[in-house]
Amino acid sequence: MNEKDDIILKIDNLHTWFHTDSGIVKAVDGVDLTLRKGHTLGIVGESGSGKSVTALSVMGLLMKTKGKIEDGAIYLDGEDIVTFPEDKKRELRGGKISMIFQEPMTSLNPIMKIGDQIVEAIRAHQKVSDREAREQALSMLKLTGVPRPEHMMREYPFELSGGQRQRVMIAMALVCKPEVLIADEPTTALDVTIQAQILELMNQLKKETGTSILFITHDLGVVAQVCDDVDVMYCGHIVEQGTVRDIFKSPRHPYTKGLLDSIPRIGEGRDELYSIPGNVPNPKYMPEGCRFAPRCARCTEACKKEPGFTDFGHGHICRCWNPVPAEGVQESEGTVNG
Amino acid sequence: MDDYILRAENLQVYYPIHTGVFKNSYVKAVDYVSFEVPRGKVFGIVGESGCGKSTLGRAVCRLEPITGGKVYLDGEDITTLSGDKLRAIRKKIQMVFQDPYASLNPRMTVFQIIEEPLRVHHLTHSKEESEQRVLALMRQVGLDDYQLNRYPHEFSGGQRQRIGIARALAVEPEVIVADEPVSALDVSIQAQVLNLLAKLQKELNLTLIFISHDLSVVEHISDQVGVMYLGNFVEAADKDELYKNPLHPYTQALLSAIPIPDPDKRNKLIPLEGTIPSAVNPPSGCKFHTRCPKCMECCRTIAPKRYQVSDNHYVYCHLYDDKN
Repeated sequence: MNEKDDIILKIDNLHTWFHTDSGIVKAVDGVDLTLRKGHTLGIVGESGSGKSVTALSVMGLLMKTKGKIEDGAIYLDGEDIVTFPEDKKRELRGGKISMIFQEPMTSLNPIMKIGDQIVEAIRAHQKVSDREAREQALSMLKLTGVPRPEHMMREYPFELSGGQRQRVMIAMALVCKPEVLIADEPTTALDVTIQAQILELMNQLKKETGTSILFITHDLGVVAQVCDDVDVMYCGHIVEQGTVRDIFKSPRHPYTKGLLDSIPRIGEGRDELYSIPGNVPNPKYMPEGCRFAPRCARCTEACKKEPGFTDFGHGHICRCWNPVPAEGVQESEGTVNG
Repeated sequence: MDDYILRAENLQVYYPIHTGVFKNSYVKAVDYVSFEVPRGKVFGIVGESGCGKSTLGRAVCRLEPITGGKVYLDGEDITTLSGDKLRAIRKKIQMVFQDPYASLNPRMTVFQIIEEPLRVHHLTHSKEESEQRVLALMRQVGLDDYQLNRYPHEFSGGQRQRIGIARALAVEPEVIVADEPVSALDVSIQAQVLNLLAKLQKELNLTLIFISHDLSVVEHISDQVGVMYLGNFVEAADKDELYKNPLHPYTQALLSAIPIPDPDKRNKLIPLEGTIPSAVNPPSGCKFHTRCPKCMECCRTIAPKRYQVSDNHYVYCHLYDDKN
């Protein structure tokens, strides 16, 4: 089947829970998503929405936390990697799937030269000589556009700026030609001009290497600039899913709409920003029914029960009893106030 | 002079380096900066990390040792005040900090935190009076009465920032310096705090100095905006003018890099070479010349003066020197 061939990563009904001393935190509670080959899928959400835990679940990096995948499957190229034994998962990490993190300083080894770190990553996955690995490392560094790559191979992480470190992380992540790159807030710690360079680099490398990207961020501006498809997460659930145009041009979930309305946009001249009232609920005391209901202006009696997904066609779905009407469609007064 | 509540003249904040290769040199965090803020307006300061925006904000509050230059608050030279006189100006100028987790004492209740400035400045004379005043402040920033005796850890980031704002408002200051007040907050909470700051600024006719790295946030809240690079302003203008008609090559590059939250509009990025140079050994002439796409010969040696291009629009760049 053609459509199936298009999908590189599919997450099916994923539940990742944390068993803490004071109770169970359901950080990811039934997430389904699909990443298409050669595409960038954005996962947007605020802190505590479960977006990073989703990424760690895919990477199989939950061992050191109290988190556990309770249910669900993660298919990479059709194979369920949740059931893989640890040594096979290890082979995947840095091989077929790799990840870049928010803080490039804490994810690089501070006492190892840049060149050695990239070579280590290569030789962990490929049977090549040290010399070949060095050549690969150097050409990858060149590709990321760092100044004086030969020199940088011999430098330590502390000698580099934040943007350069992130370029090194990207080089390391892509050097084994992964099928999926998970980028968890890769530009959040960077200045805006450097962020723009890194985003452009990721877009360019995606085109050149065909890598599919799972891009996790809280920044809607970044999502609009780099993603093809978007999943919006709230409290461990996906609340809306669609193409980037669906999400930005006709958001249907009140939370998505609220987020988009609450970001200041240049040249707009609004006196007041829309703001979503209240706070993200404590994960130990999740509201019954729809988790967004206590903060939602469109909340009704129905919202006491957990909503299912409403399908708006071509993959645009939203988990809400009273979706925001599509742009240009007038809503009757009764439903607004109801 | 009375039009400007706050004025800085050739302000310098240098930090000496005592060890290493650069021994006996200085980090020039703020390097000959002059600016003025009109009464009752919002002045936004933007720049990337390390440009000196936070140091400048702290220096005008006299929270950072000043190496040279002058700061005038309401016409009074506050550069060298100390003791009681310094304490007295803190009633006029207050600060809101970035990290609402680090800037509130975890062992104090909300009441104690907001009451402290009242006590220090002898603004209330009895426990009842203090409590009434604190409750009024809490309501003003959108906190509830029942939260009076709670500790900071019981609050979310946005609520903590409200506590910090109430503390700053307690002494009824004329100027508030807010250093990245919404950067640590989630998008939905950021809007709440921005709206609150804008509302209070108007209601109380405060002068607000709003420091941020986020150009969209600064655009939203400010009347005037100054852009900093490596310890200096490079351009300052009324908000609309600055964003519609940026003149300095750095401002232009900075604005081109803001990710637009609209998938149909792609950034037309003006690329900048390299990264921000060190403030220990800043480049000669115009500090931006090493990265400037329009660098000319004179930029390498001569530091640009302040050129006025229109009413309120100033740019520090040789491109706008009539003689060129």
